[in-house]
Amino acid sequence: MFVVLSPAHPDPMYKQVTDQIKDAIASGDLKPNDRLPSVRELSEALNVSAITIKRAYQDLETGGFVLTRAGLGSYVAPVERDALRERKLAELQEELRRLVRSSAKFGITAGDIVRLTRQVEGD
Amino acid sequence: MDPILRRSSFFYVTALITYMGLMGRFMLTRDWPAFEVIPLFLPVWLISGMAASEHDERYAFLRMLPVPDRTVARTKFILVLSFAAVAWALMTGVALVRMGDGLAGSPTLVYLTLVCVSAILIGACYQIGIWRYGLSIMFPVIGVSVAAGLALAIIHVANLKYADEWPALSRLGVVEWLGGAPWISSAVLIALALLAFRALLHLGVRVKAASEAHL
Amino acid sequence: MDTVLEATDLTKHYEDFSLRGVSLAIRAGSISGIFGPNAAGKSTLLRVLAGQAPAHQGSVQVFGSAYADAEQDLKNRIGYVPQEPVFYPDKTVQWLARFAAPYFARWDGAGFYKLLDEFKVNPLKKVKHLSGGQKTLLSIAMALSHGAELLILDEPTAGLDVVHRRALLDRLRAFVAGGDRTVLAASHITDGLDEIAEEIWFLDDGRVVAHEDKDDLLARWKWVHFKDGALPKAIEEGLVRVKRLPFGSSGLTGDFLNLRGALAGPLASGDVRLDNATLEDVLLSFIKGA
Repeated sequence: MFVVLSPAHPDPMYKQVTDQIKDAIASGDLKPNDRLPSVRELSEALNVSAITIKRAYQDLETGGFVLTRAGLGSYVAPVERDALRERKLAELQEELRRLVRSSAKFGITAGDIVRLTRQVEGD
Repeated sequence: MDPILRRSSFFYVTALITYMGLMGRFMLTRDWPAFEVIPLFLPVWLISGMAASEHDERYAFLRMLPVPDRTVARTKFILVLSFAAVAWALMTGVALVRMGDGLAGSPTLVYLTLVCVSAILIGACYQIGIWRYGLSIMFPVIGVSVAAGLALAIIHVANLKYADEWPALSRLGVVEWLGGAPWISSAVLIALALLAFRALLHLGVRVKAASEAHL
Repeated sequence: MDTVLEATDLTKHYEDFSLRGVSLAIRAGSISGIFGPNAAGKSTLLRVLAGQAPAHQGSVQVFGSAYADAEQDLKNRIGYVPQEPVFYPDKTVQWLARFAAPYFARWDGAGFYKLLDEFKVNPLKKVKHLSGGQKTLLSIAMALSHGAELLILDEPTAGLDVVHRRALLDRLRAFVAGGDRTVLAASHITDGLDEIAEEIWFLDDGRVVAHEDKDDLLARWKWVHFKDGALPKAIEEGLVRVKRLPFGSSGLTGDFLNLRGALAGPLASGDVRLDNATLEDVLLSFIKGA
């Protein structure tokens, strides 16, 4: 699991933790039923308050990424890759919408963007 | 008037007025050894006035103003000179008055000149000391000097009254001799002292410029 | 561009501290910031640059002249604000203005009182009754009221509340707008001054350890967050202020522009993340033993 916090980041600390754990789950770094570090462990490791970590874990649980078993700790939920994929696609759609609109000002079409995508994929 | 001069002169003027008022009047009203003893307190009064003025001074503030160190140094030296000059003029005036009673003589005039020129040189040295070493060191030095000066003057007075053999400074051989031509002697003494004073001023300017204004 | 202030090899020895061979040049119209830890020599340097204390070796030229030759003219054109301003304690602010005014060629009394009003400093108050921040504001007001073209300020924001600090920073920016006036300020807390400074000087232990345009500096210094093993060895070894934590490590690089290419791969795979560095981050990497 790769989690490093930056004070200069526009997102608040708890959201950075949430996002980076989600990334770890998506990339396969964290597999279903893997045990996450305890709130105390992670807060000490990252040098932030336990309240921040607790909030991050609560958000992950609400989102269905993580299950907490009382007394045993938090575990990665057996979420299917597909579900994660769907959510990432939705985020991507938003970003693409912005990209297409701003590129259009320069006369760049959706076709140009598709061509560029294939090029990048090939790298 | 130059603001620096005006502010500092308050202390010197006060010192002069208290000197003449408290001590100087004895020269007018009392008999000998008034003219012997009173002038001895002059240097002490001068450096006390200087201590009060310098204690209140803020060179760090002056340094920020477009006033060269040269000017500040000169201003302070003028104060010393003026103090002694006015004191000399007043005391000489009183001496001339008392000459009528026979209580002051020509040697007295020379004696007064000697005391006043010593005062300006002493004052210059202490002023330079303050710039070089700072008030925190010079204040105790001035304190000790004042105490010593007062003590010596008082001892001198006591000895004059009771010891017949005790020499009066104003009647020393050289003073009497110079008293033969008191005005010429005084003029020469003053001229010499002013030369020395000017040399000290040059030194003072250099010391002031190199100082850290930590006073 | 014109250089308004040039210092060459300034050296000054005290018992426990020395300025060693400090050289700097300040461009007209710029806001330059001198940063460094306590006892780096910032105040001493500023005092020498403002003609408040002599250097033992080296020279200072302001507007092309040395203080020895043109002290009065230079002090008319320079506004100096010390870290702990000194005034006659028993006098009122008004008295100080009347005292100082005759010495300045271009004293602006109306402007001075207007500033006092904005700064909320009562002109009838005695200096000894002013707070530290108010004394600083008084010093600033005086520095701005005699037609100065160069402001030299020593930690001007320390002791100011958040409102006055913001107002001062805005005022300094306005001061240089137009290109013919310059600001040189020193601070050890990069708290506000780093925002407005365009040129950065780092001072540590009496020496200039870095001098750079601020934008250039922040463009090449970045935080690199990485999974262990994700960085090429050469890059990892070149990082400074490295922190190794259980779930990833971070380090600072001053060479980001050259490393961008090599980092592209790990960045894309998510094993490396980048972050902006603050001026404080960069300064800490220059200070010995930080």
